[in-house]
Formats: sequence, structure tokens, C-alpha cells
Amino acid sequence: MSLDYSLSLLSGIFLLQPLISFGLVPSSSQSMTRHPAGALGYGLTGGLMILGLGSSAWLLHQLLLEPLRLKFMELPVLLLAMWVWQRLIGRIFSRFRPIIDCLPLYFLNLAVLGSGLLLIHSAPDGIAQALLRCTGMALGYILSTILMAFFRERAEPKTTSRPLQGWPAFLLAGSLFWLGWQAIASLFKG
Amino acid sequence: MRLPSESKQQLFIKNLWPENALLYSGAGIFLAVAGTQSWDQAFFLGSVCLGLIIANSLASHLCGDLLRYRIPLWALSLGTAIMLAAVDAAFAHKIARLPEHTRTVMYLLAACPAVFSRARSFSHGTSTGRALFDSAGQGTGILMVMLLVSLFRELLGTGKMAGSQLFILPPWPLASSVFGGMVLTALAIMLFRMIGRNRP
Repeated sequence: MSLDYSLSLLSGIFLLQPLISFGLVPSSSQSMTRHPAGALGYGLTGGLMILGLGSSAWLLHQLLLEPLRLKFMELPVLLLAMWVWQRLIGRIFSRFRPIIDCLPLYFLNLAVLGSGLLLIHSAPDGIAQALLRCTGMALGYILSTILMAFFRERAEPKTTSRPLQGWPAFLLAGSLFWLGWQAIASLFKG
Repeated sequence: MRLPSESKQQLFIKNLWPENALLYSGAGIFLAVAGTQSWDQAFFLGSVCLGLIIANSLASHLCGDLLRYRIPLWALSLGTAIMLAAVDAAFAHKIARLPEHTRTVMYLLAACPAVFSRARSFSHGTSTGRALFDSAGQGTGILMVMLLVSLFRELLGTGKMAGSQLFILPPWPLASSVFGGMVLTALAIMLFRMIGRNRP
């Protein structure tokens, strides 16, 4: 049983997190991962939003939308839940500046919305596994964002060619991280 | 930057190539990375994106013109979500034949800045023709890049080109994964910048 739980957490971190594993890249992620200091607040805020929206999306889907056959309402309900979680996190962390500063970037964020949708469609067996998978996705997102910022801070200033800076550097770094994540995932997959 | 002196055609061309939303500013970049696994998927998602950009721009223009009211972002997003639910219901069989997670990527258009940017920044304060051509240029530009990336991804990853088999063995199977999406999108942006730099 504990093996199933561990696998849920690990698959959340390395196989199901939206940014690297699925390429669900929000427009803000490129500018926010230039420096580790900015990426820390951005990643933490995103992680909290993924945890909140992912868990509530799964519960809403299993307890409300699926039994009442309201699956066509899935997207508007998730958008509403994202807005609620953004307000809630703003209230809870009102004194924590790194999170408050990054919160407007998560008003409509496709990595967060994508996590909720992926969690619903990956459909784990029970609530404990769903929550662990969601926690894994949030941890994976935080880890990817911060590691990407460290990588870019070291590698990008050395590339003098302008065409490589910005998005290309972000995407090429992301592709290397994808390879790394897949290599780690192959240790426990199957 | 849009000037009042620019004609409708100039707006269309500007959004299509020199200021292509995806290559120039990275708006909707996830579509090129996650939505170009096959030519069919890219065409479907790009067309939906084009339709949404035009619909949002025209709605924003009509509200601005008739009611002197600027539609808030949350209302545009909610309207987009409803339109996407309708598209999902109408094309359920088609979506089922497309690569895995196509529905998820399509749903994410409700949170994609590229879908709302023209409606929010330009369409509400201009003429119907200019709003239409400007939004059509942006949507077509995104669709064009998606088709280009998907063509190479499919060719390298599966050996097919627009559905027909060209190579018996795929030259680079990794191209059909997210890795290939990221690398080929990065190459497309680099190429766009290099061509732009050499332009007189």
C-alpha cells in the first residue's frame, strides 16, 4: 500500500508536472525564471495554487460533476475555483511579499489549470492517492522552476548570441530537464 | 505597436510575420510545444485558437462600440470556456481520434493570453474591419507556426508528412515527445530572430 502512495507522489513530481512533462508553459514563466530570487516566489505561488486547485478540482469532479453528469461544466467550474484559490492564498499569505507579488500572474494560469485537468483525467484510485499525486505535481513545479532559474542564471549570460536568449534558452533548458526527469522516472516506471 | 495610419491589410500582415504573437512575444507558446504532436492536432487546435481570437475581438469591439464598455478579463475567459465546451461537444469524435491530452490542451485556451490579448488591447477602441483583420492576422500567425512545427515533428518523430508515410523508420523518434516540441519551437524562434535581424 505504501508503495502505491510513494509511486503516486513520485509520478506527480516527475511524470505529471505540467511545466516540463507536458510542456504547458505559461507566458510569464520565461521572465520569472531568469533569476533564482524571482523564481522562488513564482514557484512557491504556483505550487500552492496547483495544490489548492488540483485537490479541489479532483474533489469537485468526483463528488459533484461526475455524479450529477455535469462534465460539460468542468472548465467554467475550474476557472471559478482558480479565482477562489487565488483570493484565498492572497488572504492567507498577505504578509509574505514574494508570494503576494507573484499572485497576479496566477489569475489565469495555464500550468495551474492544466494540473487540475491532468489530475482529473489521470484518475487515481482514491482520495489519498489523488492528493499525493497533486502534492507531487506542486513539488515538481516548484523544483523545476527553481532549478531552471539556477541553470539559466549560470548558462544564459555566457551565450552572447541574441537569438538564443529568452524563450529559446528557456525551451532548450526545459528540454534538458525533460530528459533528466524521464531518466529519473524510468527508475520507478513500470 | 499599432498605428492609426496602418490599413487593415497591413495589420493582418504585421500580425502574421514581423510581429507574430508566438515567435515575437511567446504568447501561446504552449500550443507550439504541447499541441503539435501531429499535423491534425496542430490544425485542430490552431483553428480553435483562431476562432476564439476572432470571436473575443469582435465581442470586445461590439461592447466598446455600442455600449462604451470594456469587457473584463474574467468575463472573456468565462465566455471562452463556454465556447470551448460547445466545441468539445460538437467535435467529440474528432478529438477522440487526435493524440492524447488534446482535449486538455484545448481547454487551456481559456487561460491563454494570446486568445485575449487583441480583444483587451486593441479591438475595443477601433473599427470592425480593423478589429477583424488584426485578430485574424494574430490567429493565422499562430496557426501557421503550429503547422510548421508539427510538420517537422511528425516527419522526424514518426516518418510521416501530413498523414502520409515518407520514411519507413522515423529519423528522430524523440521529436514526437515534449522534448521535440521544446527543441523545435526554440529553433523556430531562433530562425525568426535571425531572419528579422537580416531584414533591411
